[in-house]
Amino acid sequence: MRQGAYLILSVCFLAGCGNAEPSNSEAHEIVSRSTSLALACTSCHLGEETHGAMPSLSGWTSDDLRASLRDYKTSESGATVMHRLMRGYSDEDIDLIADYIGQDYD
Amino acid sequence: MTKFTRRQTLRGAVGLAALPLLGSAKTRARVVIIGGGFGGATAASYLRHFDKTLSITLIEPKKTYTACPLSNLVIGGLRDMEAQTFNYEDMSRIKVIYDYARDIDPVKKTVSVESGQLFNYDYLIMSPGIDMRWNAVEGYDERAAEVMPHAWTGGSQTLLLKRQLAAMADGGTVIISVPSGPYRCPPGPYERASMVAHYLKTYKPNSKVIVLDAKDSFSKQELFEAAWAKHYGNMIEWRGRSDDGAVIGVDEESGEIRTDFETHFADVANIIPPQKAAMIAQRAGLTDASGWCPIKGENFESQLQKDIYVIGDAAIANPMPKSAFSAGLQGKLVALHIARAIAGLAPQPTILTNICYSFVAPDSAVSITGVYENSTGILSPIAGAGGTSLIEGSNDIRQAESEQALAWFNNAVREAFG
Repeated sequence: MRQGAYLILSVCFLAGCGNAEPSNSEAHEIVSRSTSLALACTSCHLGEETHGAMPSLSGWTSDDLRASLRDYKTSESGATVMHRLMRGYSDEDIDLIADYIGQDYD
Repeated sequence: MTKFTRRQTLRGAVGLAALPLLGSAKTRARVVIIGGGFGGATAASYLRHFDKTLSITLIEPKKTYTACPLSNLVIGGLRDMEAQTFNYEDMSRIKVIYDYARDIDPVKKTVSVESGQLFNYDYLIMSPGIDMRWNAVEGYDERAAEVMPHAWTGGSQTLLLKRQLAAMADGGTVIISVPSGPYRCPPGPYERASMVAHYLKTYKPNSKVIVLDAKDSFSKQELFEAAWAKHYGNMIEWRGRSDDGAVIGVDEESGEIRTDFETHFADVANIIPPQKAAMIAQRAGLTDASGWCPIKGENFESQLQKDIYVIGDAAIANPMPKSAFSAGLQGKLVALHIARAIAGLAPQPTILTNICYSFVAPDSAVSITGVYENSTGILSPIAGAGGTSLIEGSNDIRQAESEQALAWFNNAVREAFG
């Protein structure tokens, strides 16, 4: 496949990335939970380039993502797909997603 | 809040990457995937990122995949079929076997294919899609479908329906028959009606579309009905079950379409029949009396066979609908679950989503979304989240959602097919 097609998350976990050192299990579970939450995002926000109407998340910091996702969650009148989706996420999960996707640009 | 440290992650690099394996497996685990649609192909793509040591085999009979999402736009004359077709040639590190899976032995953990070749697996992902329940509507079998297309699997059926619409005279009647019960793409028949009406309004404005429905309500009903009135006037007539809408029999030679109390004749008959999980799922002992595959909500493993995961339309994943979006996300999550299972880790709960966009007119779409959780081991909707586009949405919002629908499709096929 084309190099870089998966670049959106721009995150590489330990194993397979060359510097593997066994992480403790708690940290592992957090990374894994963050990954699984972010998998829902990539269905629309995949890669470093924006393709059509779904913006790339490349370049977003964790704080910017957190603010945006929380805004979607709390906006009472908002009715876009993102408003409707984010109402299902706890603040803790929004933090995990924001930290995970934004970490490369913090 | 948890911040990742450099030790837990690595910057830049390759993107979606390998899972940190605790006590990583000593042998190279073998994962076989049956079905190369949105579920299976996406699972394959992500497996190689989560565990780079895996042997991954994808079994799919067709060298060219024809996607169903957006295929109603082909019928409406708004999209070329070429834009719906994809292949597996860019799927590096995945062995693609172009053949029909014939049998599965869940005890010996093998899959045989038509050519006779046998594949051993440690984990099997089943994403085989649907089969039609032939003769569930009396007289509607594979032969009848060549005269009265269902157009519910991609490719030749879609083009057959399109040709029939092109050949129909102005002033004709198109009947779309919709099943009850679980079927692929719940809002699809109503997007179908919209796109057929768009074509007719443009080229054959004296024609009519009658939707005969075995249900008394349907997905995004209020949104569809408002859009039909706005864009197509009285062209589309919908009849639910309590209005004698359920089609019980057809005769492709006479052209009859029978309900309990009436016999209809159509110039073009689009019969979408009841469905079930594809035959291979039944042969593998993965289906229950409903004809679909019960799964564990925590990780999509079959309730009936160990180390076999079922995703996509074949699985009973409700409240997640049978949609390409759901199938793709399930494929990604199962890839993660398998990588964890190889590392000896238990299933971990998560939040799942679904989005289904439907076109109601050119450059105009509506959506339904769902958010789900599985912390109890059962897939459940999260209250207060999800829902549809607003009925009072402006033209700009409908247009924005139509652009999102196309963007989602482009993303989803890149995720699946590279």
